[in-house]
Amino acid sequence: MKKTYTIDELAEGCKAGNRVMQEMLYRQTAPKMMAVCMRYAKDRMEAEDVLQVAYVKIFQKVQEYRGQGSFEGWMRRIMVNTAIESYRKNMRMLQVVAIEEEHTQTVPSGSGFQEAFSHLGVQELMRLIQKLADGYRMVFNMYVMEGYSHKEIAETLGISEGASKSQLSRARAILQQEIIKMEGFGYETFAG
Amino acid sequence: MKHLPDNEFDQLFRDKLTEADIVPSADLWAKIETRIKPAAPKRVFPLYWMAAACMVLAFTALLVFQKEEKIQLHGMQEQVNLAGQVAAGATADMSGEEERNQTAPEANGATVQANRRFSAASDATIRSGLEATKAGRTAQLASRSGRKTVFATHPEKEASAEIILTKTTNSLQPEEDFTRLAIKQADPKPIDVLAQKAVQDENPIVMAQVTPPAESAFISETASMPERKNIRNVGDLVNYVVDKVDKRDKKLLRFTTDEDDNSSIVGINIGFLRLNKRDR
Repeated sequence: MKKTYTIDELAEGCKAGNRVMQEMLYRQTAPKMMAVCMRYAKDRMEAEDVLQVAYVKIFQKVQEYRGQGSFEGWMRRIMVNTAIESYRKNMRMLQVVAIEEEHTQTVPSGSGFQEAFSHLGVQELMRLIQKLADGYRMVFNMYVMEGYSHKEIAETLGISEGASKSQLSRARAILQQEIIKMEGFGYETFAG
Repeated sequence: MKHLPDNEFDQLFRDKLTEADIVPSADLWAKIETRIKPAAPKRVFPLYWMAAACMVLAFTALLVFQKEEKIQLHGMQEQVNLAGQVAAGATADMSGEEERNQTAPEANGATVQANRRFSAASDATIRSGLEATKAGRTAQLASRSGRKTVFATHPEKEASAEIILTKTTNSLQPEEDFTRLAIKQADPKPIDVLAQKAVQDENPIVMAQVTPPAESAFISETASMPERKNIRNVGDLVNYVVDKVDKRDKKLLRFTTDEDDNSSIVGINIGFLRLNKRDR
């Protein structure tokens, strides 16, 4: 029977440089961390690249974890920072302004949208986020999922606060539209 | 139609994605493992080992270099001094022998006595002892064979006379009696007296006229070398510079200079490492 460890026990093992513990930590946490990377990346391959770099960082910097907050939260922050770093390196900001999507607003009612949203699986939702322009995706992830303020986002990505706000609202609008489109047929027939 | 508020919209995403699991490719761990493997030893290894190697190398070089120079200079000076003294003794013996008609047994006795007097002194080094033995042996063998060999007795030529003597008797068997004889460096008086007497009494036939040897020239040169002051070598130069820069009691580097103007390091102070050999 294989012995199971808590994440904190595994973290201690990693601090001691135990290779077995490192692998166990990876096996136990990789799916959740992969989900984080997927939100920030354009596709699966890019997400795995970020995941790989981030795990190497985790094992190298594990000594710096002082037990403030959960170890999983610490790992998640490393994932997010690595993803942001990768985005900045690739200088994708240039594309942000270029993309201007058609915006025919057919705003559904609150309950109708929630209904449509509930039908979506994680994979489909991920795909929607990945389809966003890089800048929109970054701002959306950082603000909605990680809870950064617009000020922090502006500083981190090197844009103005106003740009961060407008990109967020554009990202929200696009996502809403896409979800409605996906569930569109059912929704429209339902709505009459 | 009611618009869904932003915060509710955001919450929908958070609820669905925060606990999401997506399994990465199976071979990803292998990639991570290869990247974390070499990182640890690569950094540590060269730093510590290179530092250790440098220290060892520097100290060995310092020690070897200094030692070589010192031995050479002291050794040459001592050897030549002794050779001169021994030659004096040998010449005196030979002259005494000549006086007693070449075959007198007393000559033999005198040689032995003279050599014994030399050997009474115990402060000579092993090397000088050996030299003395050789010279004593040489004198005795010459007297035994009854050769009418007399050497020039000019004091400055005695050293070279001894060398020739040694050469002529190299192939002969050594006398066991004198294998442990040593020469007293400081007090060669009895021999001097004997030698003077021999020269005055007899008028020896000069057979060998030798040119002054390089050794005696060397001695006079080193003996009369003028005393130079202040910065005489690299050690002094370093001391001077360090004194200017380092105001601490124990300096960063401290050299000392011996009688032969050789400098050797006697003190190091680089914070965690302090060495002080002795104070001069």
